[in-house]
Amino acid sequence: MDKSALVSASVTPEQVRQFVEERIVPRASEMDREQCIPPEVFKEMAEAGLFGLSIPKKYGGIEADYSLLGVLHEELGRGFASVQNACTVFGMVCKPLIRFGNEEQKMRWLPRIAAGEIIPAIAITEPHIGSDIARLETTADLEGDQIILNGTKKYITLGQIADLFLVFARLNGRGIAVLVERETPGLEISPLPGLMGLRGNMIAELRFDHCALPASQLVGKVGYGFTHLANYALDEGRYTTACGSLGLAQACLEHSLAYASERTQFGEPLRKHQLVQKMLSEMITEVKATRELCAAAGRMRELGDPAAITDTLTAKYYASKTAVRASDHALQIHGASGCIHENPVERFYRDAKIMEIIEGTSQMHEIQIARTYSL
Amino acid sequence: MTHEEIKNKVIEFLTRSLRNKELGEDDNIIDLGLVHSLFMVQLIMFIEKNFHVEIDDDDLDMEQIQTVRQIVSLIERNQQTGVSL
Repeated sequence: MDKSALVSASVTPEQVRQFVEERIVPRASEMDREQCIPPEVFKEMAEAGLFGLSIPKKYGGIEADYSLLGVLHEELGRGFASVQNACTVFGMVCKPLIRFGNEEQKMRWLPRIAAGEIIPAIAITEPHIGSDIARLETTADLEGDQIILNGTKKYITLGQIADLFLVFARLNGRGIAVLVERETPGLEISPLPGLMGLRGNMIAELRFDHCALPASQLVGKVGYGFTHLANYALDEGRYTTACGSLGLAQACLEHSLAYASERTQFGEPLRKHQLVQKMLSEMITEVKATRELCAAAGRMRELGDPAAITDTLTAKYYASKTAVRASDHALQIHGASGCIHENPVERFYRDAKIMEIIEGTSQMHEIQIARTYSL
Repeated sequence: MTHEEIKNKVIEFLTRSLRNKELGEDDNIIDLGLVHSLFMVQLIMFIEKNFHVEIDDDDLDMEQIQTVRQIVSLIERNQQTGVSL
């Protein structure tokens, strides 16, 4: 707990914007190119309080309410989507751990996560199973006081470097979630380089081959893994991904406005051309609409209103599509100059598409929205 | 909060959450086919934010919370014994 005291007691949007502008944006192209967020950046993120945004103060975290959490993720997404998505993953591990973990688990892990001593990751997706989590193929067997894991997880964000995984598996056909430390015998980790976007997220494949861990590392009850913990994590992830997508779209807009003012064609700035104005107007409108959807979801979540789930789904659905459209317009406005690796707009275009896939594809969101409306 | 007030809040929550016009105290929301996969997350959020208690994990078994009466009972039980948030 001592080191966690070093973490800022509170975090404001202004502080995060300053941190992002000074410490993240200047290194974003390099991190994207090198396909990693280096340890010193994680250390600075922890010192800025970004590891513990969702963690209660009693465990050394920031305990941001949903409105603040949303604004902070917008700022992070505006700077570098890979860093924003890393913070999404932290929340997706911590939220179910806070809600369903026992006190011993919380005391053991949360202060160390908040302090940045531990990088957590969540392992749901498998080679043959993405959205259909009820059919996960990774198995767990109870042998005495041990749980034995067998199976493979794929596309695990931060998998290359994470110290602790919240892993979902099936025990006698029932969903469970367990905490697995990186050095556990029987866990083999293989990097998966070459991701199109969110290239700083160091995704990996995890193979569990008779991986034995103490039964005390079960989080929540047997049978709660999919219905309670996974959905809890995904719901949290959708909210912060929505806000991160908003930030990414905002960055597209800002870069486009700046370029359209400085770049001259046919004797006047691009922004004076009506067809460019059309693209900018669409971006302005959709960014504003997305911000309202994210704010509404945040308010509903803070109130515990039943509309929160649907509002979160609609916010993530619309925000990720807004990011894709905004990045498309941004690239179009920048022309050839936007297609060069060193131009952030090129990265925005690649990152935006991933936002439409993570924490549930747009198509899964359409299905879920329809279900929550009993259609 | 009285029993009636809790019950009314639960009915209002279920009606909005499950998009159902009328729900009796003993109508089974599973049998009626109303529950979607995110219902449990909604329910936990609703109870913890509105009644300021953390429901014991043992009480969050879907088998035990299929009617208004069961959910009201769960809230009242945890208000007495659960962890205050």
